[in-house]
This record gives sequence, structure tokens and C-alpha cells, in this order.
Amino acid sequence: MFKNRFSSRLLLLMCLFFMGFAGFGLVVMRTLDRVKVTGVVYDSVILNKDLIADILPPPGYIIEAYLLARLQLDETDADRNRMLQASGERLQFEFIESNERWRKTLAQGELRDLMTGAALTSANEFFSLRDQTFQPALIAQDFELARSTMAQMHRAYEAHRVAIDRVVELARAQYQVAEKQAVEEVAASQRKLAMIGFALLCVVAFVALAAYQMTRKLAQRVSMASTIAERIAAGNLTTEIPVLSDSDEITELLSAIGKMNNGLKALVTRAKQSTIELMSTATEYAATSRQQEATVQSFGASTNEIAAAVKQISATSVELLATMDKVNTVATQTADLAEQGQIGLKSLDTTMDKLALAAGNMAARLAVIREEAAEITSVVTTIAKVADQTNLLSINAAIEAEKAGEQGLGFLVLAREIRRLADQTAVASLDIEQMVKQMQSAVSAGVMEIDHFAEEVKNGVGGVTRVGGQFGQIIGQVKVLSERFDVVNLGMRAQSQGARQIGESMGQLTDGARQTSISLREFNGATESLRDAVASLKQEIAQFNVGE
Amino acid sequence: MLALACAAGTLRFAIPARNIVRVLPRQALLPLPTAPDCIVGMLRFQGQLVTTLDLCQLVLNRPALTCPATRIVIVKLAPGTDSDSQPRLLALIAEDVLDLVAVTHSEKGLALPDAAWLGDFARTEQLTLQWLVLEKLMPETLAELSSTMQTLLQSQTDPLISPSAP
Repeated sequence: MFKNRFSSRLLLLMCLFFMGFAGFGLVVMRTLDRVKVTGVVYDSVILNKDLIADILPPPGYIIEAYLLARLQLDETDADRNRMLQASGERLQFEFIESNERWRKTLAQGELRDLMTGAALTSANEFFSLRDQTFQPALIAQDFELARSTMAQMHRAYEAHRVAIDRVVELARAQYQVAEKQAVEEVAASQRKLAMIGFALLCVVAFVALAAYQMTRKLAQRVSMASTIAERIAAGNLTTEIPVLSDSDEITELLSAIGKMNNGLKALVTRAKQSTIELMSTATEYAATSRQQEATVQSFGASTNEIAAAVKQISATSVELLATMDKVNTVATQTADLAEQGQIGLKSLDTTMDKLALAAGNMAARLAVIREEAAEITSVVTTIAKVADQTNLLSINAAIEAEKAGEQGLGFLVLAREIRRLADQTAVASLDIEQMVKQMQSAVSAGVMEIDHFAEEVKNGVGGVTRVGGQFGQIIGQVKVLSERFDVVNLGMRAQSQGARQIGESMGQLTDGARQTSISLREFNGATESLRDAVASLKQEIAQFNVGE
Repeated sequence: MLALACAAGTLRFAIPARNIVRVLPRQALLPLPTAPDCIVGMLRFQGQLVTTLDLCQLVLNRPALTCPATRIVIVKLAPGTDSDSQPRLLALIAEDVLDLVAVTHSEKGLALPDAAWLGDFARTEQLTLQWLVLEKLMPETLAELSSTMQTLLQSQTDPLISPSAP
């Protein structure tokens, strides 16, 4: 479970890094410990010590003390002798101190044995000879003794020198071996260090690579998660959450976002559905209420109409009642008038008969006129023919006269006059013909009119007789009507009263309808606001895209 | 110069009075089947058979109106090649043959090749007419034929051709 986590990976990388450094440090420390002789600090320390050792007489070697003893032998001045003696004693002290130090420092071996053995005994012998025999001899100025002691001292010195030479030889050999070893060891350590350094470099590179990869992966996933989160924030709930094989914090975050997204989606979808249902319900409400309102209004209108109609009926029946009374009186008068008419018609009948007779006479006379006109026409035609022939004759005569030349000239004029007369005759006959034709057509029209008139007069006589009969019937029926009018009058009155009552009830009904309409309108307003609220809710929800 | 005024529809023509033999009212003609439209038949006149030409048919492609002013004018043509024969006659049916007019002078008109019978314009005091060139009225082939037929008729009296009823 912790295998792929970023924290554990980071921890692992840190551990690796730390271990590498620890190993590196350990190795470096050990190397430093081993080869610190060759360091720069060490060198500077050694250099000064070497300088002093080079300049000063060696304390572990009694050569100066020997030389001083020699100088004392040749010295005559007592003061200088004492000074030399003091120096020799100081040198002895220094030797003992040095020897003691070396005895402590040096390791068990030939070198130490030589230093503490042969060198020390010979030196001690020298010093004891010098202090116990030589110095007193000098003080006593016994130079013979001093010289013999000096010889003994020389022998001791020689022995010491041999021992020291040996020591020097041994020490040089040892030191050379150590130096060689040190150089080798340093080289080995350097190789080791280089190897470790390389290993460390590798580790660092690996760590860097791993860290880079991790961060890249991390950044990628974080950006992906942020993109998805932004989409969800924008309201797009259709985002596909990628399922990753390996599990780490980002994957958990992604799955958490996915769960959130699904939850939101389900919620929004439910909300959307609910909104739609709500909307439809509201719309239905509105529609129903509107319908009801319309129904109520129409009901109200209908009742109003009915009330108006009833009122009208009532008014009409009242009017009718009045009219009935009038009609009654008029009917009575009509009956009287009809009786008078009947009498008048009878006299009209005889007049009509006379008229018909006159028309018949007129028609006969017109027929005579027509015949006469036809005769005139035939006469006129004859005249026209004569005129035509006269014209023709005059033309031929004129032609002949033209042919005759000079002799025919007078006849030519005559012929022209004849022709003119003929033309005038023709024109006059044409006029007469025209007039006669007009007269004939007028006579024909007159005859037709007269015939028509006679026919109408005959019809009129028949009509007058019929009208007389009808007048009789009218008189009888009017009398019957008069009695029925009274019954109708009574019924009308009752109807008028009933209509008034209906009118009152209708008024009450109308009020009720109006009130209902008002309440319905209020309800309608409430439904409208509900629908508005639902619509705004729907709009809000519509911002979420659930991929439907 | 005296001329007979006549017409075909609204067109007015003049025929020289000297060429006119006689003006007759319309009468029945001997029919001439397969003749051209303008030749309407043969007229018996003074023992001769005269070819009759309808001026309206010639000019307007319609027969002359039937009314008293539509008359037959018998004209004599210029004598033929054989001088011994009588002058050739031609009967013309024209409208409005009612008056003789005095032509004061003539004017040249347009000579149309298709209507050679149209002559110069004749001026009177009141109106302008157009002279009819009588010799050119008959189609040429027919003119030849009629002259030969007339000579034939002169030589022998055919009992089949009886005088027509007036």
C-alpha cells in the first residue's frame, strides 16, 4: 500500500541520499585518520621542528658536550671555563631529558634498546667521567689528569657515537619504510574515494531523475485533477474521470473528485427532472386555471347575455302588450274600412268593363291606319322607280347629246335639269318612305300597347272580383282575431312578470361568476409566479451539463 | 370634257362620255363558268354578246352592291387590228352611276405595272376622279379570246344563245 506513495518514495530517496553521504563521510574520516602525516598542517609543524633540529646541536647526541670538554682543556681563563662548564651541564640535562622522552615514545625494539642501552650507558659514562674527574682536575689545574680523563672520555664518546650512528641508521630505514607505506596508502585511499565519489554521483543522478519523474507525474496529475475540478466548477458534469492503475494521493484525489462529480450529476439530474415535472405541473395549473377562468368568464358573459335577453324579453312583452292593444283597435278599424272597400270595388267593376270596350275600338282603328300606310309605301316605291328611270334616261340622253357635238349642246343642259329633278324626286320619295316607315312602326307599337292595355283591363276586372271576395274574408277573420287578442294579452302579462324574475336571478348568478373569476385570476397569478420561480431554478440547473 | 362619274366602294372613277354607248339598269347576264372573278357574264346588247366586267370585283375583290344606282355601262373600245369589223364593246358594272361631270383638266398619276387600267387624275370643279383606261381593263388573254368569239358570233347566229330576259 505504501509502495507507490509519493511520501514513501520521497522518504526512500532521502534515506538513499543520507546513506550515501554517511558512507562517503565515514570513508573520508578514516582516510584522514590514516594519512594525516602528509597533510599541509602537519608539514608546516614538521618543517619548523626540522629547522630547529638542523640548527641546534642534537640533544640526544653528546657531540657538543664532548667538544666543550675539549675547549675546556685548552682554556686558560677561569671565567670562560666556568661558562663552558655550565653549558656542558645544561647539555647533559637536555640529553637526559631527550633520552627519557625517546624511551617513552619509541616502540619496543632494537632502536629503543640502542637508545636506552648502549647510547645511554656510554653517555652516562662520559658524563660521570667529566663531572667526577675532569672538571675537578681542571679546577685543580691538574692538566695531566685532565688529559688522561679526556682520553677516557673520548673512548666513551666514541662508543656513544657508534651507538647513535646505529640509531640513525635504523631510524632512517624505518622512516623510509613508513613513508613508502604512507604513499601507497594515500593512493589506495584516493582510488577508494574516487570510487565512492562516483557511486555517490550515481546515487545523486538517480535521485535527481527519480525526483524529476515523480514531480512530472505529480504535476501532470495535479493539473489533470485541477482541469477536471475546473470543469466541474464550470458546471460540466459530463467529464470522464480517468481511472489510473497505480494508487497514490492524486489518484485518490481523482477518485474522490469522480465520486463528487457522480454525486453532483445524480443530484443535478434529479433536480432537473424535478424542475421539469414542477414546470409541467405549474404549466398545467396555469392552463387549467386559465381555462377555468375563461369558462367562468364565458359563463359570466352568458349569464349577462341571458339577463340582457330576459330584460329585452320583458321589455318586448310589455311593448307587445301595448302594441296588441293598438292592433286590436286597428283591426276593428280595418274591418270597417274593408266593408267600405267592398262597396267601392263594385262601382270599379263597371268602369273596368267600359274601359275594355274602348280599347277594343281603338285597336280596330289602328289596324285601318296600318293598311293605309302600306298603300302609301307602294305608291312611294313607284315614284322612286320612276325617278331612277328618269335619271338613267337623262344620262343616256346627255351622252347622246355629247356625241352630237354642237347640236346637242342645248339638249345637254335640258338633260342635266331632268337629272336634277329626278334626283330631287328620289330624295323626296326617300323622305316620304322614311316617314311612312316611322308611322307604321308607331302604329304597330300603339296596337300592341292597346292590346296589352285591354288584357290588363280584363285582368283588372278579375282581380277586382277576387279582392272583393278577399275583403269579405278579412272582415270575418278580423272579427275572430279580436277575440283571440284578449287571450294573448293575458299570457303576455304573465310572461313579462316571469322574465323579470329570471332577470333578477341572473343578476345574482353574474355576481357569483365575477367573484369566482377574480379568485381564479389571483390563483393564476400565484401559478405564474410559481412557474417563474421554477423557470429560474431550471435556468440555474441548466448551467450544469449532465450530458443528456 | 364630259365624263361619267362612277365608283367602286369609296374609290371614284371617270369614264369618258365619248366612249360610252349606253347606260343600262342591272339585268340578268349569261353566266360564264371558269372565267376570272371580275368577268361576271355576257350581256346581250343590240344583237351582240358583250363581255361584262365587275369593277368592284376587279378593284376591291367583292361584288357590286345591289341597288338602283349600280348600273351597267356599255363602252366601246378602240377598234382592233382588223378594221372592217365593228368596234369592240365592253360592259362595266359600277356603283353610283348617277351623274355626268365636266372634267376641266387632267393630271399625271403613278403608273402601276399591275394596274395598267388606272389612268391620270381627272379634276372637276368639285372633286378629283381617276380616269379608267378602258382598253387595259380586260386581262390580255381574255381580250384576245373575246375578240375572236365576237367575230365568230358575227358569222353565225347560234340558236343556243337566246336573248336574255330584261
